[in-house]
Amino acid sequence: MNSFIKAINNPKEALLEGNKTIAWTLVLITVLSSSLLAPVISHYFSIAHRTEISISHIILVTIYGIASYVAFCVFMWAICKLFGSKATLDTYIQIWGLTLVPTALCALIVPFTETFFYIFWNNSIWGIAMSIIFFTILIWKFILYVLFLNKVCELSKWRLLGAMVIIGIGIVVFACFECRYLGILVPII
Amino acid sequence: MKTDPFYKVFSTLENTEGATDEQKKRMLNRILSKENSAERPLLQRIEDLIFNNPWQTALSLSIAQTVVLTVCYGANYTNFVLNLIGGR
Repeated sequence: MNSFIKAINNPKEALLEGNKTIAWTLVLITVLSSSLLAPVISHYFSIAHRTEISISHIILVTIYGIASYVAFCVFMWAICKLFGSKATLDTYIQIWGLTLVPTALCALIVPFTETFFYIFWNNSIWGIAMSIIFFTILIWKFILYVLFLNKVCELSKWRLLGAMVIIGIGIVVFACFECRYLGILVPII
Repeated sequence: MKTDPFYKVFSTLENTEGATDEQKKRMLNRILSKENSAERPLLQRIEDLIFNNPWQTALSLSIAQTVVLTVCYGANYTNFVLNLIGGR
């Protein structure tokens, strides 16, 4: 629990410590909310797009999610190596998960906003609240992303900038691919 | 004398009075961070501030941009955001 709070409040220290359990718990929360939580909520509460719960689909999306997390780590490792980082692939797979706090939060919220869309639509209070939450998650993730490249991959200045831009393009491609073809609501990145 | 079990038991009492390793580390960090902040350039101090308060920074920026854009565009803007996360 202590390490978990550290990952939220003091990511710099948490990243250097690299608690494997917390990292993978966050990955699993993110993956399972796309594969398990989303279909369950949609099945019981959706008005327009009710879907059937299929066990095979849940298992498939879970596997896709974990696989895409590992694939993204490999991609990051390759790019950072190109820019002169000395961190090993293991480090990425074990530690990148610690930056998934905002991603997990987003993954937990999105199934609700999808299913209860009619509550939020055209409602200014909910709209403002959701906008604040969504952009907080986005900026937070970006801060953790830069922090990770800086502290764990030990890149700085133009190397950091270069890796950031190229991985950033990769993130957009990954996100589109995951959402469109793998049925994952929130990209596991 | 040192192998005496009673000595061992009572010596632990002495130890509790001093600072633990964890506390010493924290004190050292606090002193070091104060030393640094006076000399470091502004840009690095801002960087430290952001990296030490990640979600607080994100939340304040997010509130600022939401307020500004909502005032400018109203429901068009909030519905646009809902569209992004609702996906309809």
